[in-house]
Amino acid sequence: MVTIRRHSVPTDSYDPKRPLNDLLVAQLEHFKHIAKSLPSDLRNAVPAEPSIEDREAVDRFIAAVTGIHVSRKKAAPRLVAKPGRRRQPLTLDLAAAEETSTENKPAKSNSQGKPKSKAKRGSARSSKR
Amino acid sequence: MPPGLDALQHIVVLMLENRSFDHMLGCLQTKHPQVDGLDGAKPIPDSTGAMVPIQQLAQPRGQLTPDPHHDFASVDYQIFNGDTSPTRTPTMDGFIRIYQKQQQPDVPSSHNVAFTFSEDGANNLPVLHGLATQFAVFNRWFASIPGPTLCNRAFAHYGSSFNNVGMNVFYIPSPFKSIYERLTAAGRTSKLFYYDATSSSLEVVNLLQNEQVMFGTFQDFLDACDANQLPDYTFIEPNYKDHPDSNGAMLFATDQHPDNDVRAGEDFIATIYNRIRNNANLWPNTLLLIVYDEHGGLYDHVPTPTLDKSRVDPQFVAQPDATQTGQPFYFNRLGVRVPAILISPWVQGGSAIPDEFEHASIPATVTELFMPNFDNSQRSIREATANTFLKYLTLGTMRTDCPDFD
Repeated sequence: MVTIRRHSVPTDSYDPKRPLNDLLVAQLEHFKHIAKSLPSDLRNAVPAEPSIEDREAVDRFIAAVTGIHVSRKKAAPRLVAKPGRRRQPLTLDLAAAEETSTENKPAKSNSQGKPKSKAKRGSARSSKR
Repeated sequence: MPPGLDALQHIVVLMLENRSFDHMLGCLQTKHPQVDGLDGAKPIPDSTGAMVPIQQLAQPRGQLTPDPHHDFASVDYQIFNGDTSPTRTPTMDGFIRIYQKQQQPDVPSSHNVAFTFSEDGANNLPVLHGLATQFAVFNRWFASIPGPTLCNRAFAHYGSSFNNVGMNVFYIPSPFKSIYERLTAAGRTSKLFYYDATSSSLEVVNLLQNEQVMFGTFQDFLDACDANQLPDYTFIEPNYKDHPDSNGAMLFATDQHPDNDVRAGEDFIATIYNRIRNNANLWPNTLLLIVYDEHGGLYDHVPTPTLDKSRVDPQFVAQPDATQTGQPFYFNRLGVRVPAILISPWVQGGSAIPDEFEHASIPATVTELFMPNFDNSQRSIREATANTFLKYLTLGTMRTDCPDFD
């Protein structure tokens, strides 16, 4: 098995004040739209609509609206019997089982106790729920 | 039935942002001739008419500010170099000229859209290059529209963008349901994992607003892997912006959108791959597709194909005020070629897939696997006629030589 080394990401690449690209501007406009459609009691919990120049305010706004929507999750639909293809997990005998993981443990444990302002390897792993 | 297809239970799609095939993978052709990349001798003109070579000088960040335009009209220029005649053919040589227009006055940095990464230099991409050479690379995966992000991503979710060639995602009520809604109705499981609440989803208007149960965070995805509770179909959205986590630690944008650091996206890809690869309950029965939504204004040499009439939905047309080219668009041409890699221990290592793909191939493949009797009248012609990629799980024995990333 070949092990490939990733590049590290230099901390000076981090720029939370980087201007919004066209994608993020569009995303912000969509969030403004759906925030207006929230019931008034929930709308009151949303920060004021930010300008695209205020990156931190954009982040707070999108996070707040996202949080409201996911907290309103409907109950998962009851699943009907699945037709056909679902199978038992393939038993991994052989070599694949021998290829013991060296991958890190679940992200929750990795993200604990990190010092502030330190870049995390695999920033993906550091997200909080 | 091949054993890999017989075992298949999960499809995972990671869609990244705004990089062309040649920009990311074109360098591989030298050592891996199965990859349809660059031979180093295909210069394109700048606005003075001088021919500019395609050079392996791309850097992980710092070269693509301002963000090269990739709206419909700009991409049209990139493909046809400004030719608007009825008999035009795609020449794929307008990339530098349109970036120079954007950066008035002309500056040498406009050549940066024709830079590519290298395989052997310090500006290599060990994760993407490793996966492309160790699994199967698609030599002809194109963006679905010669346009920007959101209309292209719509093809991955709905098999259509419903008349849209821009950044509008107000598709409600759309004639076709998303692949997630269809799977749910069929008793299947699916989830769209966004990175976190701050990055959130690009499918907020159509799905997050109304179908919250279909969403989870990236941490939820990792947890689902570890708990062997991955849905039948998983779509992962990267982190779209640098921002701190709740402890103040730096979370890098991982989408690779210019000018976010490409190395953070590499790290993200490796994390997802390793999580599946190192789980013996997932690796044998999970198919991972890594694909980019569109080219982001960056050079690629393969002419964008015109679609056969049999693949065109006649009811959809983008009017001239939407295309900004003075002409309507009938959704009969694909966008610029993008990187796409098929990953599974049942895929032939070091192979290349020559057939034509686009983002509608994603719901088409998911439907083929999980809803084989789906009513074609309930999805777009584009999706119903798109090539699917299950057939590349060809090996009779599962590979044990697949790479790992440290």
